[in-house]
Amino acid sequence: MIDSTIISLLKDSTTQNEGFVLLINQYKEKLYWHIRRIVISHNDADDVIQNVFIKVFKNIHSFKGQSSLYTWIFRIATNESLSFIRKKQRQSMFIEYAELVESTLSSDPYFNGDDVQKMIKKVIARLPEKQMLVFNLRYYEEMKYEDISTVLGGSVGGLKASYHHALKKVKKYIKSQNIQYEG
Amino acid sequence: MKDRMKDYEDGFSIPENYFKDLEIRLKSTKSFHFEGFETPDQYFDKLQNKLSNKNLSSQSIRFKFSSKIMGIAASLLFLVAVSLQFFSNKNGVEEDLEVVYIDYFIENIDLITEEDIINITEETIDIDDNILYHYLESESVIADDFYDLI
Repeated sequence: MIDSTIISLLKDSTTQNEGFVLLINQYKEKLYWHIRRIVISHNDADDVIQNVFIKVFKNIHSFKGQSSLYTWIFRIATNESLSFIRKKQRQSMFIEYAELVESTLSSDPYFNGDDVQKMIKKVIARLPEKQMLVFNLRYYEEMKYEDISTVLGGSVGGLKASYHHALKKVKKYIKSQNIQYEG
Repeated sequence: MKDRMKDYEDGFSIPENYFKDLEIRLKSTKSFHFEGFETPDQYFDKLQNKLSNKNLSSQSIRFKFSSKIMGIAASLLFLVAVSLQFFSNKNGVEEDLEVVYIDYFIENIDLITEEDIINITEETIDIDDNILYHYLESESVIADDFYDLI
């Protein structure tokens, strides 16, 4: 209900500022955590989320309503985050994503996780990109598979398999490291 | 204070609303705090203010305006570059070859001149006067004093 209000406010030039405020209010936290789980550092997440909101604002007229606003915004946020990561990898001599995550976690003043938390982040970063994204959206965001399918593409069955593989790999790695994980 | 208990037939009992609380507690374990992530104080309020204060409408107009200027500037630069390329139409290799050719030409001219000087004799300059006259007449360069010379 609120999404349709946001869309109609944003599409009308006289109410677009009001719509923009409502949009930020509605999605800032959800989007932030989704972006943060991909780019890891707070400062990077802050840059990306601002770009995402500006992109949504500027491209709202191209939103045809074939999907929900929620999945459309998450799709933009995912693409922006991945583009950001690829740019960062190019700047760092095509460093592996897992290595990038490891160095970012060590240098981010806004990460105070213990060794186990750090280890879990590194394990997730070692997953193939699609599995990593499915894992984040399903495990942390608790997004429905149908919605994940709209955000990332692919069939619901394929996404379920991806999540299953991802979860298995994470558990296996944690077991192999003898980590006592109380989740 | 002890929680209110819910008793089961087999003797076990659990706190009231245990499963509801469990769900909440399990969900909270997946929160960003559990992941180790933090944000600066009042980050989301500040983000909201920062984004809300952006005048995106005028920003997009400025962007369109500046991209138009950039487009014109890029076109002008392209024209200048093409013109320079067209009129000079030389690259480093061509210039080098030209210099080599000029050097070679000068050297050979010098050689020919020297050879001619060496080989000039009374016989080589003994040209028939009539042949020379006709040649010079056809070229219309007969000097007034030509006949005097003859």
